[in-house]
Amino acid sequence: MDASDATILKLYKKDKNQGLEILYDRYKKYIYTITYHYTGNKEDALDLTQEVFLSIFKALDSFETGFSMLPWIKRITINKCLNHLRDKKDALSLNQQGEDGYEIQDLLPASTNTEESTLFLDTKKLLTTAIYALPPEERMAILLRHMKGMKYEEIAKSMGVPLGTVKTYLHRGRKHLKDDLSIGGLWER
Amino acid sequence: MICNLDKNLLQDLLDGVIDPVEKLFVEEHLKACSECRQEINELKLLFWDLNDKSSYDLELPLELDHIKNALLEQSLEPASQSTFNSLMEVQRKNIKSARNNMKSASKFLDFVPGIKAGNALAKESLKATPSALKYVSKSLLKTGKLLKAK
Repeated sequence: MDASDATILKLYKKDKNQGLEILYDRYKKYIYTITYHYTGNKEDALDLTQEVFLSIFKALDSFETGFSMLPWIKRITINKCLNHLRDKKDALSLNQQGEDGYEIQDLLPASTNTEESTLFLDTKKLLTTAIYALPPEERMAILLRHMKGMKYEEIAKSMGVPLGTVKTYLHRGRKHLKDDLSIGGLWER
Repeated sequence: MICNLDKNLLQDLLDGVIDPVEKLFVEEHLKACSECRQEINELKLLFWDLNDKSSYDLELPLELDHIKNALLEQSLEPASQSTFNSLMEVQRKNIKSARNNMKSASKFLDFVPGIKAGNALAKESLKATPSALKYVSKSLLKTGKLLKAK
């Protein structure tokens, strides 16, 4: 077990406030990065981060000290993300604004303004937008594999799906991304 | 020439999860197939961007600290829960003692002649009544019977 996880739990038993605070500071970046790249906007990412921590805090009393917290936290985060998007499936609007004030319709590639949009938006933004356009499960698999560097088996366990399904999500997701980014003019053909 | 190679193998090759035999096969195939060479070059660019950690860099918003404070307050003040629990406990004790008081207060009625038949009737009609109310109504009925007898 990770030493600092054990320390956090010990501290939590002695002083709840301090234990929870350190736990929050330790994992907030990990959780927020996933929720942000998964939802594609700050507000939803913050909502989800709050939900994830609420679940963690509630269940911490029954958490067994012999285990590492990260896999447990990953599972909670992934579940909250997948459920969140299921609830909000139809709520996406082309006028919805991203963190930088861009509307989604500005970010969509179009044949007439390819050059302009390539100049306007850098690779990072195009990639973030293309990832956000993926179906939820593909998006989550891609983020866990490439952003978090998780192994296939670990992704399968965290998402609660068979290994073959993870491979399918990754294959399809990357194909979608490649098509999107080629059309977006990111790469010269 | 149309290439029939499963393009997923190219992804697996780049991701380092390809079977060693398939790897040899794909590498040989790439020497001869320009379509797959084009495909794998595009995939390499994608993998480069996807694996580049700086693609995911972001600034943590200040709101995360507000959320922390709100969550800590909420978690450390289980006041609503414990107040609710202790209120319930007090209520439970009150009801219990009220029931006991009523029992002893109406004890004398057990010795009044003719009351047993009335009790049977009351029991029948009170079957569906919640227990706390049951004792109240029961003693009321008993008193009614007593008055009638007088």
